Amino acid sequence: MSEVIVITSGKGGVGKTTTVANIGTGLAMMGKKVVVVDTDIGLRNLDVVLGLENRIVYNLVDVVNGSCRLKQALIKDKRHPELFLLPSAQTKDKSAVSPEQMIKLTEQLREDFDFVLLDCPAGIEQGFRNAIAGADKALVVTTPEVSAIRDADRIIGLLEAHEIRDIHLIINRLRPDMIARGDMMSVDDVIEILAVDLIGTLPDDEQIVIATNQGEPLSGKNSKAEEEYRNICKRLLGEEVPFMDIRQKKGVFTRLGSIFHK
Amino acid sequence: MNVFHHVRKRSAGYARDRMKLLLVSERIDCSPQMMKMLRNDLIHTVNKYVLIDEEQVHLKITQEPPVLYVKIPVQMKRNRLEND
Repeated sequence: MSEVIVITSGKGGVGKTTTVANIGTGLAMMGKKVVVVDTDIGLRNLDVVLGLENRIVYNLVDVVNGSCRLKQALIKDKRHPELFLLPSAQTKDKSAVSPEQMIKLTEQLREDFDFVLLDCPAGIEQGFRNAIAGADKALVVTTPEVSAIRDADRIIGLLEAHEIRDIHLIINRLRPDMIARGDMMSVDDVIEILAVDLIGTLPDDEQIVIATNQGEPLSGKNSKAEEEYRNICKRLLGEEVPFMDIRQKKGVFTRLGSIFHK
Repeated sequence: MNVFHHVRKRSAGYARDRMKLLLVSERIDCSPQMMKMLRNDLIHTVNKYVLIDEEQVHLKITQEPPVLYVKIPVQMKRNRLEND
């Protein structure tokens, strides 16, 4: 039974593409056959995050137009034999594809893969409507900032309006030190505001920037964010994994400081 | 702005309260300004019949299910006499 999952956020720059790359890689490492699809036509990015930018021949628009067969456009990741990328077009714009064509494409991909992960563009226009058209469920990525949260709420409303009710939240770039001193909204705050089920809490982690620079998601050894990306994969596979405690372990001085603060 | 009367010093609490108020009003398509007008109208209407503690009137909208809760503390006759 295959699943088509759209990763979306409304606001740009919150970590959609990084999330798709990491979850796609993680699921492939767990032996699932995965295709990650870049639906951001005109602004393709997933290929560089995965380190596959030099291998693109055909793209999503070519497949939809019938200029090539689906199999010709899929790029196999040599490091992970179960992972494939369907890149987006760089020269066309978002009107080159319709929601109906996207539904047809996802149905085709469903036959060959366990997971179809759709990287949605920012915004709520046609690119968003294309990306969600064929999806069974959605992962909404946000950060603990007012702008990202407001956009996430809008997106959740639009997903529900399009009959996508299986919606899970990923909170990215959490800063335990700032949460501890009350200058960043906590995981509980964000869940209370948005009222959707949580599937991942990611700390702000420089290892993710390093892995992206190298085009190798999940390459680090002891990074907290990578561990949590693997946990999200397990949760998607139905495993119950407890959420990591995002609060930082306090040292003696921080503790003393917080006593005086009250 | 004080429809939800939370007072917090730190910025996260402030952000949380602003977001709760804003998103609820966006979901039901009723701006914070209109919420304030609604609160004033309710006070005005109820005040015609019973004496209420205006400062303590509290409006809250829950998300699931979406329900508008209004808490209007009324003043007892006995208390009124003592105060007068």
